[in-house]
Amino acid sequence: MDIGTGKDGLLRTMAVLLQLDHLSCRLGEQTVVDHLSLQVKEGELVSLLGPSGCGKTTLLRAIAGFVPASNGSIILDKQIISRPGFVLPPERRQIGLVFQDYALFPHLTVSDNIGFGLRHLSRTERKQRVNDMLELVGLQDLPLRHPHQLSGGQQQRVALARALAPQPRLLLLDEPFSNLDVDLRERLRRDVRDILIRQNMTGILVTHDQHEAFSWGNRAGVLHQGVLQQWGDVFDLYHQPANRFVADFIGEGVLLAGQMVTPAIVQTGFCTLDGNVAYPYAQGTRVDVLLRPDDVIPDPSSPLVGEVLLKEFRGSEILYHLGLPDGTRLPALFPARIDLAPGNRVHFCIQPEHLVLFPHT
Amino acid sequence: MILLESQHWTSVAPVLLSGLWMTARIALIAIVVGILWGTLLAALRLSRIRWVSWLAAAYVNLFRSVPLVMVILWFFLVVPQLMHALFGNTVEDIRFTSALVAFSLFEAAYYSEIMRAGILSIPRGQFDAGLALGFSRRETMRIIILPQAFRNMLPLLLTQAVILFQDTSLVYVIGLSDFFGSAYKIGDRDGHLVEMMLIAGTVYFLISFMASQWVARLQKKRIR
Repeated sequence: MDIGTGKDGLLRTMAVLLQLDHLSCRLGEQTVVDHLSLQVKEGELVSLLGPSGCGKTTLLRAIAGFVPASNGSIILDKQIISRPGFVLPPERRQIGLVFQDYALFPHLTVSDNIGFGLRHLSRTERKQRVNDMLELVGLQDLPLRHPHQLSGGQQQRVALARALAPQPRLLLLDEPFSNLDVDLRERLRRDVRDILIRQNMTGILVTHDQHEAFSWGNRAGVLHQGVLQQWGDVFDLYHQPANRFVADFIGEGVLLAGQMVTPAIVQTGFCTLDGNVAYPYAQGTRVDVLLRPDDVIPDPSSPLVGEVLLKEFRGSEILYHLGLPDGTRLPALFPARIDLAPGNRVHFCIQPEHLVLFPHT
Repeated sequence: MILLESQHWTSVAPVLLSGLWMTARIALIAIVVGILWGTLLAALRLSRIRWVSWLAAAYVNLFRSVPLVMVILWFFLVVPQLMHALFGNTVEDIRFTSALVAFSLFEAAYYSEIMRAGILSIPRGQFDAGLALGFSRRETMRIIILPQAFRNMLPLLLTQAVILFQDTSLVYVIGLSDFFGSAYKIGDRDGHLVEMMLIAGTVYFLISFMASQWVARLQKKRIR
């Protein structure tokens, strides 16, 4: 139990709802999830991020009860629901699922889909709950449609309503927005997030899209080859990646070879960077420094200069690739008002939020 | 032409009609029982328990690897002995019962393969969704998967039904008077075998062809 600030800004106790404790899962001979530990608090929205094949979907299916644990345990609300040799069946976990392909029942109407998991309720209660859910997802006008008569966005709303109707303890969402157009995807993501917060629902989103993960909740995990590379604040994932994989997978950037001058200062090919804190690398150690495009800032008074090699318009910003005299190619994200043409020279300085160093390889 | 004389027809028609009724009864009962038993077999074959799925597979492969005529004859010879052993009394005419049993068990093997394909055609997410909503595997199969599989496979099930309808003519081997058998007997008795066979063939053709056309139309409507 620890004290945290709720989404409404009020101080409240947040109990751990889901705990994975050194969880491993095997599919056949292959270990797909490897000694993974994490905790999700009640009412929290978190995401699991990783490239395809990283084991994130298997992890989700293990939490849902479709994949057994070969090591460790899954604990939901202080009750062990998976450990080697024991799997609480999915139908008894009270965990809601939203799928990438919606998985609506095509032979049932919208209402019947939503009411499907409510057989324990009386007829009137069920009707009431279905109506509440229709209203919650904004589909009160379409209760008698069949899934094939709905748009993709509407289908995913029905799927969400169907999953939420039995009031699950936890909601798992497996790439729920991937089949939608970009602008619809963003709008629906905000709506879904909004709905879950209003219901005080705990939601775990699995995605390969970092922007989706960043805007979903405060915390996220990055998975690679079944191993949780980093689990924490989304800000830290970007600005303090725990290892090269996370640094590379999340955001753009470049790794510059450098050498420690003091435990806090690094000398790279073209500049000296001060991390302001001592790093565990001795003087003279060769390191790689992570520079994000937004660490590079235009500065006419700076002695550093680069030539524009590439220009990519991104709306409010422009991504440039700057060629430096020593041959380094440096990505830089400048506000769109700084409009340069390829071949132009620009003065810049480097102001990282936090210097990220990895041992040189 | 004796065939065109109305007096002859008034004596022949009731026999043919009762034969047709026999054919219809065998076909309809075998279709219903075959689909039910075949669906159960398909579900068993997809069971997670290995010996259950093995037994179901063995059943299906056995019946699909022997000629139907043999199965009909075999049940005609075995069922009475079995009934005798079970109930202790001799049953008089078991031809109809044994034909029904033979057809139902035999066709179930084919229906089972159709239903298995139907079940496998349903995306896995449907199954997972059912479980996540609190339904057991068996309930999910019954309420979510099978209705969809049945709908998807309806044209194939009906096509198989048309084949079964034609196959019922094989009951002649146990001397049962279905439509074909009756036509044969009358033709043989009156010395108009060729004509009677032509008439019987025409009737089989018309019924089967119209049924197939109806299935094709159903299929087209489904695709649209």
